[in-house]
Amino acid sequence: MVDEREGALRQKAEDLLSQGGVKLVIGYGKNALGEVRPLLARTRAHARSLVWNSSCVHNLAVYLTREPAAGILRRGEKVAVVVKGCDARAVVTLIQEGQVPRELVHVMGVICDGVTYPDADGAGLAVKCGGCQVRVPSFYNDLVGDPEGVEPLPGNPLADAEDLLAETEDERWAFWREQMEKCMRCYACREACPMCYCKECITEKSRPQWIDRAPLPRGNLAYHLVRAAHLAGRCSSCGECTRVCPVGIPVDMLNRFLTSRIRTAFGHECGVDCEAEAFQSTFNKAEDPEDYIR
Amino acid sequence: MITVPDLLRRVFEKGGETYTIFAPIRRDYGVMIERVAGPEDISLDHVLTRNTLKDVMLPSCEPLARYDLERGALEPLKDDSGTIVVVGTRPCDAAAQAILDKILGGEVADERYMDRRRRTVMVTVGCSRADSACFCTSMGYGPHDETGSDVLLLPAEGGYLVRAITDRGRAFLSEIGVPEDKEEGVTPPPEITRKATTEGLKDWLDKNFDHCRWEEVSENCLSCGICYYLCPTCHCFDIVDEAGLTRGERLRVWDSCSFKGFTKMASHQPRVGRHARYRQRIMHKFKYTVDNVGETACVGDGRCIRFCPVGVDITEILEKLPSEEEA
Repeated sequence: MVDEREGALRQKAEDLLSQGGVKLVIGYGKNALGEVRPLLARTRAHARSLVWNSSCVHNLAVYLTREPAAGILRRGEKVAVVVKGCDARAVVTLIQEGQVPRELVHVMGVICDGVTYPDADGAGLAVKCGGCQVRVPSFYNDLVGDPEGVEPLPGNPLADAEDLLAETEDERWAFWREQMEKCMRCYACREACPMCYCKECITEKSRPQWIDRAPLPRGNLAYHLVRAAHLAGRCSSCGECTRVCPVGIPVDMLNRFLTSRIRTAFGHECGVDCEAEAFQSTFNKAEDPEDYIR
Repeated sequence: MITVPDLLRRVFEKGGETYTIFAPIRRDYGVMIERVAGPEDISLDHVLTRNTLKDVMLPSCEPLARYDLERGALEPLKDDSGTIVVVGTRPCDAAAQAILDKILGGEVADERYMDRRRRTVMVTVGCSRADSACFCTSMGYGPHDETGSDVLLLPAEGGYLVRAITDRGRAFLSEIGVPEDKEEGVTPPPEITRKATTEGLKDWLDKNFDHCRWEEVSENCLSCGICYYLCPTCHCFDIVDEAGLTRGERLRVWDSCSFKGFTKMASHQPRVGRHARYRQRIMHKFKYTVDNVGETACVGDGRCIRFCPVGVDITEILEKLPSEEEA
């Protein structure tokens, strides 16, 4: 099954680069040690070295708003991107938010069996894959794999958050305080996030300086809370922020929790419909109970 | 012959009250060099700690002064950590310290750093295993290299052979009552399979500040700070104030040339694209530091490879850069 998808992916990428008018395919490749990493394929030879397996963890949508893909899109040329179901939601949100033009992005959706992190003890399924409902991406130009009979993954994506919620407020605060003390402010969580495309992040504003720059709990907490709020309703739950963290902070627990709250409060599901309005820039005056915004 | 826990026990017996003692301990996400309160819990089965000696010698956040505008008071803050003893660092990290000593201890010395260095005894533990990312031998070091160490413990059958490398190390060993071992019998070092080629690199870097290859080699890079913060030789910092309305602290914190805001305090960050920022990292390590102090600022510890979230591999890039004929 896996090999079939890999072969199909390579073939499709070759076709797109040779006849499809696509300048760049953002996919997965391998380094000399056989470890999976992003591969920006420009030629048919590159396309033939694309891979697909359970180590394809990265959310490649992050490369759409960066060079060289951003430049290609600006010139009105096409870029293809390999996505899992979770990553596809990020692409849709980028389209909703006007960051990438729908007609220039060729989405190669791959049916995903869940991903594993090589460092994790026992290399089991990533926490974020628990209960996954989008093994078949809901948005794609091409679908790689057979959607017939694909079931959601077992598990609960909020298992860790619910465990924490069962604790007292003091215990929860102690937990996050400990996590915040570890943060080095390397900003890997931000840089790996497709939705963190701001030209200037609030953490870089220095006049006034909204967020303390030192890696101390006060500024660290401010940074992570601001980021969580900015991602509310926009986060695709790809879990990259947590995966890349060098000190093991479960950054995405905040995001997954907010996602579930927003689902309950607003009935909003992130990254479903390219035509839908961007979640955080929508204001429905008619439904708003307050009268002070005119 | 001694075991690492036994040596650490001796250190605590002798100087538990007066020394500031650092050792590797296991956290849920990896092994960290941290200040330890007792000889227990030391990690022995790791290859590398996640963090480096930089955390001890050039901390990620160091208070320099405290001020109070209402009282008109400015109080410089001293580091009074006394004798710093580091037990269980690896040869690559000790070697990195020797490089930092040249950079930060030169004509314009970083006094806070040098003061700590003068108070430090470094007890290094030679490697019995290597990670696939390790490439220390390519950079002129090795799993049992003594550069930068005061005392070196070399793996042998049943424990470690104790070698004093510096006078400070010799004095420290007699202070804690651990004899030096003269005998042979060191277990052969692990093989370092990864190689980095630096032949022709410096010459290429001298001539190719502007080259399309910089964009090519850095296109995966996300411009996060992981490789800088986990690097034992990266040493750039910023000075910031953590302040309320009238009171605050002035701190030195790590900074990274990968960040868009780097050097903005001096007007702007001239390195606009990610490739320009990645180029700065390579240039600083393999050209500028060579020009300035005659050392390459890389010890081949491989953390930048192991912990890069998108598989950027410096050994691959060092090989690729000068390989082009038209360069």
